[in-house]
Amino acid sequence: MKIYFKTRGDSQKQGYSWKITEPPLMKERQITSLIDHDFFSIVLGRYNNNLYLLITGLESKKNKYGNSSIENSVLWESHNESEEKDLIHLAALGLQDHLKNQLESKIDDAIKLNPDKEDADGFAIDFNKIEPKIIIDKLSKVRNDESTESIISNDKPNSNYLAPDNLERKQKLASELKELASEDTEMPELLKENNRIFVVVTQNATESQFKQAKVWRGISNLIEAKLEITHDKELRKNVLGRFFTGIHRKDFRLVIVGLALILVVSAYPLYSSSLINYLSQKNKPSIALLVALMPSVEHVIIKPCTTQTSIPPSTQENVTSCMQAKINQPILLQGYSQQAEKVMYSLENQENELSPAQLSLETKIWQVNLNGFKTAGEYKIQVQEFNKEEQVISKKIILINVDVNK
Amino acid sequence: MKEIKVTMIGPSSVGKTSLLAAIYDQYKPAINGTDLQITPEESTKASLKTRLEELKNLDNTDFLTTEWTRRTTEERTYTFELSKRGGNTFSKILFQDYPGEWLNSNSSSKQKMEDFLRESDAVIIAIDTPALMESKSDFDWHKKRNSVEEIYNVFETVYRNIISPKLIILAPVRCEAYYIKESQKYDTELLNRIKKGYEQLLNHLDSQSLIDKVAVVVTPVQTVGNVVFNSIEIDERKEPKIIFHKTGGKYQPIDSEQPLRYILRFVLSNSINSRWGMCNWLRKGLNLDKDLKEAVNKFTDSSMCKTNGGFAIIQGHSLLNIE
Repeated sequence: MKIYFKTRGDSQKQGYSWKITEPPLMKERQITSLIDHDFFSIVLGRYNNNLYLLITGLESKKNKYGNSSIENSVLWESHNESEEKDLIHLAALGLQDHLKNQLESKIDDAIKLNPDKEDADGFAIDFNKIEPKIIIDKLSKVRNDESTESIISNDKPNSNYLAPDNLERKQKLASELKELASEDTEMPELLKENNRIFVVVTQNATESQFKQAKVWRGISNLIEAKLEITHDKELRKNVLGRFFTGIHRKDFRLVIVGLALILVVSAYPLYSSSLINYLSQKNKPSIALLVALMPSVEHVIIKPCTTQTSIPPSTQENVTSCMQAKINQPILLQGYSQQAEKVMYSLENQENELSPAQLSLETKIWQVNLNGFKTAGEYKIQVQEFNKEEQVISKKIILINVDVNK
Repeated sequence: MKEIKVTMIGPSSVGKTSLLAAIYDQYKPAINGTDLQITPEESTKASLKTRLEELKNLDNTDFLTTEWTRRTTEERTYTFELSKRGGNTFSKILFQDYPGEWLNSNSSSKQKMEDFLRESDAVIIAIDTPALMESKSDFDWHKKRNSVEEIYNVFETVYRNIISPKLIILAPVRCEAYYIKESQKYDTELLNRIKKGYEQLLNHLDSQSLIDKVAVVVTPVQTVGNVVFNSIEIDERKEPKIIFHKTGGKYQPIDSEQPLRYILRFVLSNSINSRWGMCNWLRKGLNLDKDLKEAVNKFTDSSMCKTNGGFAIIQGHSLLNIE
């Protein structure tokens, strides 16, 4: 394991420098230009066959100059599977907001200021104190009031996703990374790809920057929040995630069952619709797995439907999102709103019957659960966001096209 | 599309990024009334906005300090797009910001900075004004604080056999204490001291091989407007420690758009006069669109680019001529 540390001494003359030397990775502009190094950012990737974890913008508690804060950066690199898992685990812990202070403090512990008057940099580092295993051990003991276990990722492991910076997204990613770091999970092929950036969490990277760098999981304030739709809450169970990402050795039976179910669904497409309807009335994890594996009902992101020809021109300008669904298909609408204090929704032509959506004031994510529509046709859901003063700050109309054949 | 590259250099924590934040804060009123559109790219906008918020958060606080902004830890590019209002982007200005330490370093970091400087059309040298103004006749504090020797070495290395013209902007920052509000001018000593404090560099740029190719201007910028020089203490390491008074006033940068005006004036002048075949890309673009040329002209003409009261064109008038 190679460790590099960047900080500065406590005099005006002493600027930021890396100990013991500047890492070669920092010469790669594609990596360094993705993040704002002065602020908290995490990058997990592989470079020169080494898995690396770069964490920047860790505010120093013991070192300060004037009224200016000092930020530490650490880079860990390894080409040993067990150590690589530690780095993935550490990335997962670094993503959790409630651990940030502890992480900053542990990193700070390694700094010794003015170790030697002759030292021009004004600091020395005790690298033993920032071995990943040691930090993981300490952070894992921190009591977790905001359980991350309840937020489990259902993102497809083999697809990239980009998301706005919010607590839920970070916790989902932390969950996914923890799973990958587990001893029972084989390192997925994706994370073995050389010269690839896997995870970036930073303030100000744009969607195009992430896409250009082919980032697997990118979280930034500049990613536009989009409405998301998932099939059912049961899909949030981690079964699908486990199935695709490094298969659990212990869960081999699950793989067999999953493959069998795919065959069943593929062989009987004509029955699939009624089969889903039947199964989704039950509420068991195994059923959720089946439903999730069916391409037609997997996690969908709905986008502004500017090209929807089926919407009458008179209403087109009001429709902000649209999607396809099947008859009786349970639907979960989700959205992100920075300013909303309350979110209400209603079905088309029933504006007087507004119902409250579930809204987490912490993550700023609202959601509406619908049981599904019994007949085919176009349905409109109006979602209104209210501010503290109970004024409507936005109105969204989501068009749902329910068709038995789609 | 041709990019206009601008390197920001200067000692650590002098306020290079704050200068960029002030340019970002003030360019809109400056282009008001012209047909020129300057648009920061999304990540540039977000990043400078964050820094601007940090500076504005200090409003209504009053304290003495040595530093009040976070230092830049790694290089960063800030990009602004240029277009005629509502039109397509015809060029981009790339400001390359570096940690001040890179000037002193012998590592590959310094090499990266020199490479970018070699390709740059313009360079902004941010100067810690109190170190320059409060130094005794030997300019010792100024030399140390403003890395005068290191800056000279960089130019001596990079400006060899240059083909296309260059613009050097000497930008004294943190100069609030030397601004005379009544006359809206800077202390006349500021310009004298710049000429004296950078004598070696200016002589080098004034040499036979560079005089026709390098324009040098001085544009003082009050990057925050509410932090004034207070005193200098000598610390236990016998190093000068410059103390500033963060007054209770509001964030209010002054003249921060001047470097931008000079950069565009320089580019426009060279496109009009097609010196050494440079800027053909821009000349072609501007000839196709006279309105755009007029817009750039309006933003950069001599009444808009200040030349007295602390501002000056030290050399290369012809490289900045747009008449």
